[in-house]
Amino acid sequence: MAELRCAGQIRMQAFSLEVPSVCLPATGVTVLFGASGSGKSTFMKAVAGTLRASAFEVYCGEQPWQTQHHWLPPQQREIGMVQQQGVLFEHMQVEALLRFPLKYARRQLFTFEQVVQWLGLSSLLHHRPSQLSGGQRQRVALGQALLRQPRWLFLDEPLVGLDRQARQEMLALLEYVVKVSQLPTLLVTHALDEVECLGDYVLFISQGRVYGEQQEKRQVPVSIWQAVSCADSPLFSEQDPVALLQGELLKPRNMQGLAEVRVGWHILFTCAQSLPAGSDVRVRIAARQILLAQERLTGVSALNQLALEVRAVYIRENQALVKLALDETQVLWATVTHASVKALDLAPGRRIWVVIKAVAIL
Amino acid sequence: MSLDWTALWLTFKLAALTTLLLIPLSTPIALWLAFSRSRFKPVWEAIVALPLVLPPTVLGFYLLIALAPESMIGRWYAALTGGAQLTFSFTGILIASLFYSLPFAVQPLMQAFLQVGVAPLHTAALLGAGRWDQFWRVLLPLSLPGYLVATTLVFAHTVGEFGVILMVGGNIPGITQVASIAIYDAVENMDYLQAHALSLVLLIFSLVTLVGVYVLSRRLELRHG
Repeated sequence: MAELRCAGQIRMQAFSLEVPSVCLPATGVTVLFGASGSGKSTFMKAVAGTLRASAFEVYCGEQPWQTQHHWLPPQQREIGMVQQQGVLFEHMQVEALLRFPLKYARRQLFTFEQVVQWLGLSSLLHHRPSQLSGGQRQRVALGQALLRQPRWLFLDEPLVGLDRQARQEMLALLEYVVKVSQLPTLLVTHALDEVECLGDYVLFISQGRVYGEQQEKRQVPVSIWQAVSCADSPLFSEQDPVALLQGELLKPRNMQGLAEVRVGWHILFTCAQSLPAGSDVRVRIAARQILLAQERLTGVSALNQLALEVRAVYIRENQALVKLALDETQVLWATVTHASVKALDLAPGRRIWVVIKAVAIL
Repeated sequence: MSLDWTALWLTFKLAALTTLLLIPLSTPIALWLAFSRSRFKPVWEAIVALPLVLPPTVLGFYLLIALAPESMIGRWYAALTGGAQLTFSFTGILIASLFYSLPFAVQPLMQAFLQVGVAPLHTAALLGAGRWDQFWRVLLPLSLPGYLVATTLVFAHTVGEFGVILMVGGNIPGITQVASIAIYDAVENMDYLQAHALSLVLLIFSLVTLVGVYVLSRRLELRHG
């Protein structure tokens, strides 16, 4: 496994993207986050080599992919790529599509059978692409990408264009595949839930520039935990904040559909987790879903009530964003009105009851 | 009267050989025209399309000069074969046919490649396929309807060739006298029966071929669509 380093400028007709020296880590999922039209996909295509950018340099570990004098074609870069509404060759059945890249693989990381099983493709092997749904097509594309036996996995908005249910299934599948495959991954997206489910690091892209945090003259991706604990993070610039918490699944979903997750020294009830006990899990809680109260509430349906300390209050144009400390490092976000800030006397250091419905913990 | 089988066989042989040679020769040209971003592309497109608009006599005239025994090509051919000449020979009209039918091969192939587009080629490249495999495993199978159209059009168009062959090959029975020229010859000699018979064969052949193309290309489109 090798990190990806790139730098330079990607020019298109009416568009130019500045890439300062950026290093993508050799493990985990790095998310490139930005609004649509910001050039995320362009960046990914330039790194993959399907878009030729002349003033742009890319190295994979010590191997140059492209420099001023050298250009490695995409077929030699060993990237497994899933694109938004990508192409499946219409003249092939699923089995032939999946076997297509095997001929060119230089190592064996995953077997055909393994991939078919992970992605639940065994019943589709004799289908043609025209017979597949959008979600199934993306699963086949992901299977092809894995059987490329790649050094890097590139996901270019892989969930765009899928309906709600297919999107949820594919997201869960990506989470699983990224974990079991151990491939370094670059994910391009502007959906907050994809970032929070899959991301380990985040790079941002806006106004024709790629950036993370400055470190010795180079930009390195920001850790996801740092990115979600910062009120003015670009992750939250267009969308209401969603807190991301790392926990351990204490009890899997029981007969009543409730699971228990330990986060720091708190225990949260949720109905979203279906993994076995002891697993590390991520839970997400949207700031809008949180209720603040001066006292512990009785006779309410919400199953989670925690007494937390207010860490900061950010007054915004129409509402206020309250940062609550769950433990030393993890934070919860709550969106409230200016009126509530006044009524509850919300200020740093104040202890307040935080009420969360189990169904609001994803 | 008996039907002039010699002329018909010669026509078939010429059309079959032209098709067999022209399809592979046109493929790289069509690929370049479809995917190149060169500034000179329109010029090359125009050159390839020229035989469509040029009077066959003009094309035939230039080919006659280019292939003449005293021309560079003619001398080179003679040296290679020990004295044979290109004009008024079967090889000569075969070469002429290749030029004459070029747009009928290149244009459908180029259209097919454009319709497939670069996206599948990029996908194939990302999956590891080199240029050769991108063509054989992806572009060619996806462009089959275009190949079918090109093959049939070239064959049928060569069968219908007249002026260029007359200019380059003359009217030598058994060597360059193809069916279309035999018909002309028969009419000149007031042999209307022979002219009728040959014309009817060509008419039916052309109609059947075209119906076949339309049926098949629809079927292929349905399968892929």
